[in-house]
Amino acid sequence: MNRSNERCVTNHSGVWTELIALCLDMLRTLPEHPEIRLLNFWTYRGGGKTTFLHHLKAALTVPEVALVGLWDAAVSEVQQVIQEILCAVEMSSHTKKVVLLDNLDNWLRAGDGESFFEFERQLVLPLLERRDVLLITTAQIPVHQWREYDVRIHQENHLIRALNKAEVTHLTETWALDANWLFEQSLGYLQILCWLQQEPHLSEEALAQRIADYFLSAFSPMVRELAAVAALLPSFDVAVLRDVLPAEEQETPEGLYAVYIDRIRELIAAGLVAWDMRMGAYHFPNATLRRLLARSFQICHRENFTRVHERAMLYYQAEARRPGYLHYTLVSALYHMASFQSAQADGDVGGSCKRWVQDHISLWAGADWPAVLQAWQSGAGDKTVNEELQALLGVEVVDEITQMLTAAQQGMEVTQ
Amino acid sequence: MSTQAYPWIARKVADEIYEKVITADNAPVIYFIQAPAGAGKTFLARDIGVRLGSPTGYEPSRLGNVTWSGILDVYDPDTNSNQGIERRLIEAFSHTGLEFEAYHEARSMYDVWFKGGIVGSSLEDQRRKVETAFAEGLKLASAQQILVLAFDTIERLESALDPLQQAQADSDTTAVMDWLIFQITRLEKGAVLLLGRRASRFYQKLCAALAEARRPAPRSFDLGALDAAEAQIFFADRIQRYPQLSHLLDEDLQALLLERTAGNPLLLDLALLSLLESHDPGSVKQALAEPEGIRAVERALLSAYMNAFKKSERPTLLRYLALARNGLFPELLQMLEPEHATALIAELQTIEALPFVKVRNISVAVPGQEQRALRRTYFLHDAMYALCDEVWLRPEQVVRDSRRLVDWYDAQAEKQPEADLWVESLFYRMRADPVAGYQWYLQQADQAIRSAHTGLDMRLRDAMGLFLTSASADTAEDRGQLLSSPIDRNNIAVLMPNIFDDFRLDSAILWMKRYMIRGKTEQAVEIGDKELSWVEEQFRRSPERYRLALAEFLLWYGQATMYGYEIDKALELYQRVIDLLPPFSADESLKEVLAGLNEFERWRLSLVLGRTYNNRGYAHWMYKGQYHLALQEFQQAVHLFRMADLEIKSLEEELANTNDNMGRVYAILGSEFQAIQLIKKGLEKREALGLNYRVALSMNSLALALNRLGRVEQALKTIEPALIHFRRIEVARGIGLGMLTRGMIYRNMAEMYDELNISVEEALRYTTVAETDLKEAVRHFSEFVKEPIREVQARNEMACCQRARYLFLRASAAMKNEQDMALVQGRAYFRQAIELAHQQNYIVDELDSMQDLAVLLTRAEQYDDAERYLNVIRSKIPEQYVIRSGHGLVEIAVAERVDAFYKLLGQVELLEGAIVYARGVHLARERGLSDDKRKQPTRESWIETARHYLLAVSYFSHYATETFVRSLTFERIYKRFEDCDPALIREITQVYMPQWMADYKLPEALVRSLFQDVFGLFS
Repeated sequence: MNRSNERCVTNHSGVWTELIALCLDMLRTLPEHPEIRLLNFWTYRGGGKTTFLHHLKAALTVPEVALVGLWDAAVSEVQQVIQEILCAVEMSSHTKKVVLLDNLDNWLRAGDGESFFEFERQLVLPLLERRDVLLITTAQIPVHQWREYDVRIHQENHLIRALNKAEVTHLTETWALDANWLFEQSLGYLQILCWLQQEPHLSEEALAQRIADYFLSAFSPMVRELAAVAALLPSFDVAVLRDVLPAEEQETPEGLYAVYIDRIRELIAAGLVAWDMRMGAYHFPNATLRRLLARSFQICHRENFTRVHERAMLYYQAEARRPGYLHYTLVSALYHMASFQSAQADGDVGGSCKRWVQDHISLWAGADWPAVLQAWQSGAGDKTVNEELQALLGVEVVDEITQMLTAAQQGMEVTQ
Repeated sequence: MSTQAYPWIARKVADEIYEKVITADNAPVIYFIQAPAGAGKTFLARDIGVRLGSPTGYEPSRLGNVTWSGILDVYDPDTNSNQGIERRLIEAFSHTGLEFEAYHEARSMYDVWFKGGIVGSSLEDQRRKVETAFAEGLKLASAQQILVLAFDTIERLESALDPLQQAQADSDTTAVMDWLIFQITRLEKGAVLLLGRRASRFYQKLCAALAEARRPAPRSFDLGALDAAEAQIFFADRIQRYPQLSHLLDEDLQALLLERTAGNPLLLDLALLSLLESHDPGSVKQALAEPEGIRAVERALLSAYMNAFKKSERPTLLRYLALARNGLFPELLQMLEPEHATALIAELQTIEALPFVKVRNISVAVPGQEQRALRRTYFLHDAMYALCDEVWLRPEQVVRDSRRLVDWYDAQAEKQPEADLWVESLFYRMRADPVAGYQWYLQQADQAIRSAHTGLDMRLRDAMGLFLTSASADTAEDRGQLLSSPIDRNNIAVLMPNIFDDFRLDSAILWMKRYMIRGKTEQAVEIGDKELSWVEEQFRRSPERYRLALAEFLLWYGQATMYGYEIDKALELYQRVIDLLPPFSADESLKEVLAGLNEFERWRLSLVLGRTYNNRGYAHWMYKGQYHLALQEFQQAVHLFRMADLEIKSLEEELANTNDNMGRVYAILGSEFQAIQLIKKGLEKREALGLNYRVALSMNSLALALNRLGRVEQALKTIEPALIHFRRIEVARGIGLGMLTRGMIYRNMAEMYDELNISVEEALRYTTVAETDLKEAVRHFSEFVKEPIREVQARNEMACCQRARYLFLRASAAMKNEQDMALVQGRAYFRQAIELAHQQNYIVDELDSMQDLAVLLTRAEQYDDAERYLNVIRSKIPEQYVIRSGHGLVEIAVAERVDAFYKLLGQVELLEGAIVYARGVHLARERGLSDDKRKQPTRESWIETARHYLLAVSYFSHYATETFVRSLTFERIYKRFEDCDPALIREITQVYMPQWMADYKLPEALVRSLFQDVFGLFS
């Protein structure tokens, strides 16, 4: 349990309301129509897992629901937890029962995950069979590793998102700090808010360094390096990593994939990175975290920041020459172009990006225009990328590019 | 390995095929099984193989009297060539070890030939012998057993064809498709399973060939979706293999899966794996309900692999499998991942069980060992490649990553040059850099063709064809028939959009070269005729892009035309090549131009222009008698080959070839030093390149030059080893050339009996030996190798033998009858040579034979007949070549001048002098001015003879070196005039000679130096 986060938001309601409502909705279906009986809420370190559970706990104080208890897999043995929960559930006479378990993924990570599977077999299955228990867990990652069919079909994963601006304003109204500044600095990430509450005079550089240290300290230097650089890319693959993060100083001949995939695997295991099926690339599922790390990198490694964006821009612009793959590459090409030029304070960023699209649009005959437009309008599936693009290019330019792409799509439809 | 280790697909049709196969001991049974990707074709074949005792179906096996070939996948590097398939079938079917003995002999002979640089129809005939011997081997093997041959991925056979071949109706058994059809039509019993996606062209061709061979038509099957019973077995099998599925696969989901996958087993397996890997049946069900459901499920599977966080080996390996289209194997992984290789190699074995992974033992060459070894090689299923290209890989990424694969192949090829490595690397080269890869292909194909390495040539062509299929627009309505990759389509569209036109054009060029190297000139000309307008159209559309390619097309078209003896048309085509490339002709601009070109362009430019000049030189020399012009052309060719400054085998070979040609021409002109040196230079180059056959050809050239220069004994010593080599390797053209040369040498030796200090009897024996050789040469050039120019030469030489014989018989006072026989025979041979030369429009050879005939007639004292021929010769030579009173010799530019005419006119004058002299002797005898003891012509005849000799010397001097002229004339003039009255000689030299020289406007120095020694009067 993260005590500092907990302290920071104690006695404040009005955050993550939709997630809490979701839990309450699920509870309502018990025991007659329980489709989902296992909810896992996940976010990275400092993202508010424990805090969320405490909020939830407070919200669950309704008469027909028994909150059986809150356990933490990070500090307890699996058998002990199983026994305690089974016993507590058995003792409860309420028609609806809720069990809270923090840090479930700790058991999955330990050894070959046997504790996790014991938990599934000995506790989750019996609880699901009862139909009157809602099991709510938290983890750093979405948990998909369930072996039992009955578990799989009755479980869901949900991200504990960063707080939005209204939530931050609401949360910090008693802090005597500028809510806008707090949101801008923290992007609504709970841990950062707590630091700022405790050390409001923390310099930009110190905060940037602390962000990098806090989020990446668990990794080896090489994995840290990759994570820090990858955070600059809305989506990435080994090929672009090879460009932006060349392993030049190795004594032995460099491997083509393994060294990168191995490092990415650690980040996947930690919940920092995931493969995005729609984009066919890796990404940070927690966009706020990506942006925090990116900003940290920009402040701590300004020159490298520009270089990475330049190389990524060149890579994605080269990829974007192929119309058949444009829906995968257009957003990254423009994102890095804009970031590179912006970092260089290089004139009219929006104008250059618009010109680049104008110059290339005639070469993109045969592109999957609906997919391209969708990728562009959704920030390649990450709305924060859209926000960043709007900030970098200007809303007008973003709209103009949208119009150009729409016109190309319509042109294609007419041709067809 | 247990068959249970494989996810099996039970098919009812397998039972039917199996029953038929094991009883196929009468007529052969051929199954043509077509199906989209993933329908389970390979599993069907494996099923049959396993029933026949093969552990996994891939390996050959024997069950009772039925022998299974194993599955030969024509996509695999070791079975995508005729020789590769032959090797595998022999391993499977040779029971006694003797069935394929004749094949081995024919194949060894073929290998020796092409490695030695033998090309042309002889080699092509030998290649046909190889395939026929193989068919015979199969027949012998099938006498004792029922052979079952299985070929998978047969659609590749037709997608490997180049555009030119696709348009050709004729079969070409150098290509695997036609070779296979050839073998199938010759099978007398046994069974053949042909499995693949849609391959209509192959099917139609096979049906036509079988019908022509009066064999039963193939049984065609479309392997469709699993039917209800098959599906039930399928699901039961998978649940047994993956017990977790028992919870996941309820009946509803099974039905949904069957509907969404259209009963395609691979898609079903992928969906089931998605279930197992993603741990999310809800989302799988949800995805399946969508219109594009199955694709979403496939993507989910890949996503699950990528998000697996326990081990990184599997996602890493799957990426490599997607990238390494020609197979992944431990050595390659070792290079690609030096630090992680051990773990990755271990993981390779664990992924064998995945339904979309194919594992095969590929036969590969091992550095330093003769015996090939089996290498366990891993592939993805075809359908999986398409999916990975769409989901995992990106075009630019593939460009970059493919370079690493090319590096590995290059490193291996450096250790041990091996055709497999070149062929396999081509796909990656095309991906890494299509422009450079394509240029590399053209260079390798050129080298393979010129060294008659047909197997390599065809495999490279196939690999290029397959790549282009992969880069072609996706026209298949059914995804299961799709052979193209979005990666390659997109890369080619951006990096080399013209490649399809380029390939068509270059295919035409390559096929012309192939046909010429196989001695099939007519087919080469046909291609030139047919494709020229299209090629010109490309050039008009994009002159800069296609300038050099059009030039190369015209060069080979011209060469084919020249080999077809349309010399003037060929020269026109060569001229077009030169006109197309005007800036490159002048020295300075050439240097500049070459400096601005990449290595390939320098090579191509140098080769095209150099070869064009060489060919022009050859045509001018061989067919036009323009020796000096030929030399100029050869010099230009040498210059161009050198200017490229590239150490490339093809250019070295071209240079050696041109050196040899130049040497031959210098020999005609009597430039001994240049002739010998240049031919030896060519010979050394060919030795260095290891081209034994070509070395022997150089020795033949050297012997010819030595013979022409009068060094007959040395010539004989030189031709003997060459001839032994030709005979040993049994190349008809080589033997023909060797016999012709040796015949010429013996004939010359006979005629030089005096200088050689041999008896007339010995000389007569030489003529007999010579005639024997020459007759064999005629036989070779008329029956085995159609080369009319050589036949003309051989017949002319045979006639010359009779002519010499006639002389010796007369000198030895042989029976009149015998003398007459030699005369008649000589005349007959000369007539044959003249007629043949006339038919072929070889004017120089025709006149040369007439002149030789006139010599014979003169020796027979048939002066009127002889003069008639001399007059014909004169009439056929244009006036400007003739020395005329008051005009002298008109100076003709080298480009226009036919040097052979001067030689002929010199010979005519020399012979005319002899006739005048002989007639003068008769006249003097009639007038009582001379007697039998002291044969002296009349005074007028002496003077007229001297005039003819003066003209002869003048003609000879106009094209040949002084030394050579002396060797041609000195002896005759000296011998003729040694008995002449010194007073008359003084009068001739002091009165007549100056008059003639003034009248004919002859250069004094030229004539003085010759007559000075003969008459000794000018000093």
